[in-house]
Amino acid sequence: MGTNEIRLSVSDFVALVNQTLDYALPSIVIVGEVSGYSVRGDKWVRFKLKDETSSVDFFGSVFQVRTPLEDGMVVAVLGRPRLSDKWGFSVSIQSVQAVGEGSIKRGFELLKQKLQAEGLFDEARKRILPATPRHIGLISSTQAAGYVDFLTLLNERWGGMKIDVAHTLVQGIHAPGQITRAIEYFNQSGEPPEVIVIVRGGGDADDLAAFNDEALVRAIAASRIPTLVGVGHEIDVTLADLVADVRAATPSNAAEILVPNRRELIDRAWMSVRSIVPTMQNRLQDYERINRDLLEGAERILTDRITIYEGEVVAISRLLKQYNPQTVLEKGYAIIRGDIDIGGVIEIERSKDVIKAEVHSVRQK
Amino acid sequence: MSDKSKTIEEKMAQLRQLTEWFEGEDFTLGEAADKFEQANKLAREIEHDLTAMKNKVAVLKESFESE
Repeated sequence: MGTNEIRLSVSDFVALVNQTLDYALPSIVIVGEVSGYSVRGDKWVRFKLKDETSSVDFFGSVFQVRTPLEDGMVVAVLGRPRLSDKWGFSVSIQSVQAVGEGSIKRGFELLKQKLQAEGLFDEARKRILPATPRHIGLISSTQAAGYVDFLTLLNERWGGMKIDVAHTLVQGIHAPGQITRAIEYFNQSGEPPEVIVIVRGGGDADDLAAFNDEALVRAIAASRIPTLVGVGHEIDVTLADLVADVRAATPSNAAEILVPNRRELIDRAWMSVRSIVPTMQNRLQDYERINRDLLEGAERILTDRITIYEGEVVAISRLLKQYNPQTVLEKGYAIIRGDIDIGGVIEIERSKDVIKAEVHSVRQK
Repeated sequence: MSDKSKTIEEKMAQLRQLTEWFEGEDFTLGEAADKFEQANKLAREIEHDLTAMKNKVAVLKESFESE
């Protein structure tokens, strides 16, 4: 050993290495395959990340890992490299995200099973959204296509709303934390919105991985404000979708679900007015029919009365004719007028003549 | 001019009631013309109110990056 080498105590060496690491690599993202995954005391997580030639130890709390892991999964770990005075070199975990379709899918399945068992996706937990919200809390990236799609359709469909936008990342390792903080912000606000909407456009499994983050999913579940999540394309379903009160297939679909369409309401109002016309026509026809029926009924009654009266008149005429003196005379009878004492002069009226005669005798029958 | 004291929901409900009146037992020919004009006026107000509604969008100044 020469006299020019730096000589340090072990503790000093550890301190120097950590100082250098803090300066050069305060945090770093390392991608590799998980191996030797273990959890101690339900609290501390240890595993290695390896590739073809190397492996590195990782250590952290269950809270920081946030997604169930298995050996063989490929993950990206955000961490802080440290040389521990007791445990040697390892990376202190800050957050973990599955990488690649296979790992992401496996992580998704494991976490989904875990949260489902806790009842986070139960239908009974789902709340109904307000029919026409006046105040909306929107969480998205203002640079994302999904944000523009949502707002464009929302403004077209309905108005009179106040929309507070929390700009966050919607993909990448930092996205879950930002979205979670935005949800907490709205929940703690002095004037909270009536609904929280979280949207982003379509993407591959990596792009949507943030919405399968356990802490984010739990934040949505814990929100006192009802939540509407519209992430990705029609067929994508993330854990954030499953835990939300309402799931939309896309950001545009979120706008359709959230508010009515003013154009439809206007059309419906005018349809109501137009529907009055045939109703009125039916009513007028009813009135005409009723009047016609009444007239016909009155006519029948009058006709019947007239027939009855005619009959009575004919009967009375016949009776009068019978008692007419002329009718009696025509049967051969005569009317005698004058003095019927002997020697008196009488007038005998027959049907066709009148005879004057003197009375010669009168005999009682 | 639109009746601002009534909400759109109230006006839609009132229009519904008017339409139902034409089919109901209280219908009379004498009132029909007046009720029809009321319905027309309501529909015009509803269209005006719905078309005029605008949203206020504000991006929060708050940063949600980690501390």
